[in-house]
Amino acid sequence: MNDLLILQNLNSMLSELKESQIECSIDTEYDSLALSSIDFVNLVIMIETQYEKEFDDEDLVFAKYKTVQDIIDVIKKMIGGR
Amino acid sequence: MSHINDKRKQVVCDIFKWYLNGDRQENYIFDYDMYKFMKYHKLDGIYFDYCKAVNENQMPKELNRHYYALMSENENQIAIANDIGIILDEVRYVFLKGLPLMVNNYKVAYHRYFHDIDLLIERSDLSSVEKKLFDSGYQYGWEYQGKMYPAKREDILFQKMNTHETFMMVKKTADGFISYVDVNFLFSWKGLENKEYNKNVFNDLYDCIRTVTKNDCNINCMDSNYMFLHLCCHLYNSAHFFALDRFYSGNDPEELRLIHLMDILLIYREGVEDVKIARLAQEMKHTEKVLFVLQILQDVLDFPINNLYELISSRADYPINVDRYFLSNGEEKYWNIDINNRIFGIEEKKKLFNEVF
Repeated sequence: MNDLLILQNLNSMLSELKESQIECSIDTEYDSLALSSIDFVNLVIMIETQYEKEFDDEDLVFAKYKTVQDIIDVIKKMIGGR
Repeated sequence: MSHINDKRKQVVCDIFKWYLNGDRQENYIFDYDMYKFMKYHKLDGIYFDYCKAVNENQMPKELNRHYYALMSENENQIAIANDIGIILDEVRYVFLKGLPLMVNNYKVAYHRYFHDIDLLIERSDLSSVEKKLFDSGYQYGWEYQGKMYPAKREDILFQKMNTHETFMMVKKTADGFISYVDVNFLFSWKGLENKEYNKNVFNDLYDCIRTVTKNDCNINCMDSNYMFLHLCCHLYNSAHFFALDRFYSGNDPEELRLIHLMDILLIYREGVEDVKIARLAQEMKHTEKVLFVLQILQDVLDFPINNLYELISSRADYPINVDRYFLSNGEEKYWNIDINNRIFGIEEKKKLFNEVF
């Protein structure tokens, strides 16, 4: 699965989460998404449901995410087995 | 303070002196209301023995049975902890709070009872520890009236991502005992919205681990300096951040329990190095937390620890306010009742909470 497709999915999940249209690019900074701790948990749940895989523990640390690309990289790693 | 709160405070101070220094209060008569108050603060096992030491015949028989049963439960906890140590094999860990305190610092097992076995591990070992505990029968969830309830993935993640520990793990042992384990991966956390990944966890403690043996079981725990520091952090956090707990329902948070002050005084008496604690507290950015506890010990229980207080307060950036707490949205709030009434006037505190939340 390529980055662009994952980005589209991510934008759709973020839009649902924030209840407004979100159009991120891979360079969008994580902090600019203004996700609360509860939002982030919900985003992880949405990603896990979408891809039917679970995040590794090491990827459940906020500080790891600087840009949207970092989230995409984790998703790619998570679904890497496909 | 009201007359009843003054009376409670006097009895509590006498009991602390009896337990810590061996002072005796003669002719004390067992009082059921006082017993209920002590139970709120988890000091009921000590109160039971305090009254029993004055006059064994005054004690209700059902309480005798209750504390013998509690002693047996605590012995189960020791055996379970020993099994967990075997399960974890080469993973580095220490037990925190209730278990090592009960084994090391309390005279009788039922003086310090606890619900969960708390572990502290390195964050990077979490997956491995989780797997080992799952393999031995634990699951995320809880037990209620004989039935196991698994935790939702959402709640497991929330706990793991936003606090210092995992969601509680539960297992029914072969003999029907319900065992709970909390796996901590941070020494102390700083609040829900803090995204900083605190690396100051296990590697720094590694040289401070000691193993104590009880009932042929080995219990890994921290040395008294780190234990003192950890207990101060725990008390501070529960007093400040109770409303940030996702499961907090607005009831009395029981955020300041006297048993935790007893824990801290017992560890201090065991022997700590004031200079080292002051240095560690500063390095780990916990001076405010230690100062909070020292202030309460001095103001509420009249147990000043002057040398440490001076060392810590000289390193603190600003004076401590024991009345502060945080709402779930991070808003800073202050109690409308003073610290003595929060501890000794539990009825007033409950009434206040019904109004505030």
